[in-house]
Amino acid sequence: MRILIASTFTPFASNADLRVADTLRRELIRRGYNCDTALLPFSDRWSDYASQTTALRLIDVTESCGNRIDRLITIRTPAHALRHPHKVAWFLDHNRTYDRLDARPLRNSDALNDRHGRDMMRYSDELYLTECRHIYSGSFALANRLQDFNGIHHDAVLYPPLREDHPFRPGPFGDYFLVAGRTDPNGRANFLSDALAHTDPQVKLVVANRDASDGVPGARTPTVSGRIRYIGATSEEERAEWTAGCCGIIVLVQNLECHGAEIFEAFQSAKPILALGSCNGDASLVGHNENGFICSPTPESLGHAMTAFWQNREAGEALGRAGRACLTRKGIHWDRVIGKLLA
Amino acid sequence: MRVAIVNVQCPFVRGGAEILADSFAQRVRGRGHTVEQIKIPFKWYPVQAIPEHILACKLLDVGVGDPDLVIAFKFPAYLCPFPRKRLWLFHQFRQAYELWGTPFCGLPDTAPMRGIRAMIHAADNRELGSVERLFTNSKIVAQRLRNGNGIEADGVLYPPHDRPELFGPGPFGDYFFYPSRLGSVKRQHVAVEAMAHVRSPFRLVIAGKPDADEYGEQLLATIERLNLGDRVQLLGWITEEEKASWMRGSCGAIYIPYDEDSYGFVTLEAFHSHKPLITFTDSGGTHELVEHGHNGAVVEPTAEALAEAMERIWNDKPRGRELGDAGHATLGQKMISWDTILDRLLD
Repeated sequence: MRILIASTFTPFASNADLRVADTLRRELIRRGYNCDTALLPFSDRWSDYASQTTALRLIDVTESCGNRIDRLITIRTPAHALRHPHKVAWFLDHNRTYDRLDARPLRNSDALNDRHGRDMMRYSDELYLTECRHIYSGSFALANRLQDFNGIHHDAVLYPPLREDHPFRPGPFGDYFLVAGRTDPNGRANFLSDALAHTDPQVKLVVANRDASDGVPGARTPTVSGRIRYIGATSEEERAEWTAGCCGIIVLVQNLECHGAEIFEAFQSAKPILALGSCNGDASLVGHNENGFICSPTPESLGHAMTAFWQNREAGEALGRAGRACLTRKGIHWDRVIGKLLA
Repeated sequence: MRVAIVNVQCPFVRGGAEILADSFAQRVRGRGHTVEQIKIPFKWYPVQAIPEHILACKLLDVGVGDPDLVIAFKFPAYLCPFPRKRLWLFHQFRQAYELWGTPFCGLPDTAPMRGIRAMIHAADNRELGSVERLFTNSKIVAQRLRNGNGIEADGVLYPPHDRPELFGPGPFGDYFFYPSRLGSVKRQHVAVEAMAHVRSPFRLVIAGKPDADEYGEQLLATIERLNLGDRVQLLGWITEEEKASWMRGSCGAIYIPYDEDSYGFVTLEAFHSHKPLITFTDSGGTHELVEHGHNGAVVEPTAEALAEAMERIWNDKPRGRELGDAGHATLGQKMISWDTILDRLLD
């Protein structure tokens, strides 16, 4: 069976969705499928949305050199505009412009163009998504957005698992918390050092970049008595090592539609998660006192939560074990994902 | 500098052009630039798909991420709009030019198709005439551009092999080797048919994956029909290392495409391995390196002529070795290097 995975991407930027597309490709190939990817540039300038979506629509991926392509799996929006009789959308992001346009009063000068662009985006998403045989969401938050903005029901949530031969594994709880995802909560560069000022003086923090293109706000601000260590860009193996030895993972960025890979890395490593507020858009994955701790999005609150974990390691370890159990309980593994995508 | 490399893609197909594009990207990175490859799927049938893909390339924004330079290789990807665009032209849409009216064209000579052909010529005339720089990968592509569009290229940049160190001299074994994508334009079926005319005990070894399943099946059927099961071996897709090993142990290589754009990696691989190469008089770009009686054989495009050329090399192995050594010397004379290519495309 020939399976094409299609996604849009932003050239010269870090594209988390492309990592998922690439892992899916590898996992399909490992299972004996003939799989390739088609990755197309797509601009965030929503005023160009119509022309770019039209370009995608014009590209024919039903066959390649006379050979039928049996399935099309689309990842980043609006790759679902591509034409294919057996198209499945794995919806891992939803255009943020929907929020911006709904929240912002339209100015007279651009009202017409804004409305036109928004309508074009909405109608084309709805038209092309409803062509899909199945729609799977990367999180319940995404499913809700599809329902709220587009009135489209999804079939199920499919969390994107780590690749099967990932290096993440449990390890002894060390003396530091790890930040291994996006680090900028609403542009507050000093958030981490402010949080640390509210902790037990023995608590330490390690901040890792996922890759060279991720910025680390606050990297050049003075550390709190040397208790924050910025280790820069890390390879997956290095991150696995740091994750295995930490006493908890801090997830800072709020309201993401989809879960960051650091959550699944924490689960694999049996580490508890400290998440800010409505972190990651839905509470289905990180549950307060289930597999982590959800605190208010303030430095004080995060600092107090870190101290609480620090002082009660056993509770942290139990939450970490519960996180690892989540992977099986919630079906976060490639056999389920591929089974659904090819159903 | 941020460099966007724009190319077309036929999903599930990987041949010389794709390998060359990847090598080029890697070498540009090696010079300290940030590189992103953009590959736009292309399907040219039914014929209506051609103008659709032209329009898609015009509408896609290859300027996302603010590249400083766009370098494009193939139709219709090179039509993408960008102010600083340079071309290393591998080939145009050949079916609308030199293949038009030949059995390899595959497009109907109908009124709508003639209209689409005129549209392709017009788009090429506009875009290829206005790029910042335009190089081709062979003299023949430059000549076609001159003949078809009246556009003069800035020069020819010969594509080097990505891993020449894999290839080297070896014993003259009992087989001729033809590694390439399998397809009617590469004419592996003629090589198989030639084996029916061969009297000496050598074999033919073919490596590569078929572009279309149908052609692979057709080759198998021909082998069976001509009762050549013990004389012709189809290896399927093999790794570069395996290919190098088969090339080293062969008594000569075959590369007989129809009117190819460039000399083809097979020619480079044969010459890096000190093996003579047999090609056809109508194979196009191979003639830029292969000289009859000097480093290989250039013969009429028939199974009989190919069989005779193979027999001649097989029956005079010292001469075969001389031809192979001369092929190796040819590589040095033509100044085929990545430095030349990067200097001209990036400066």
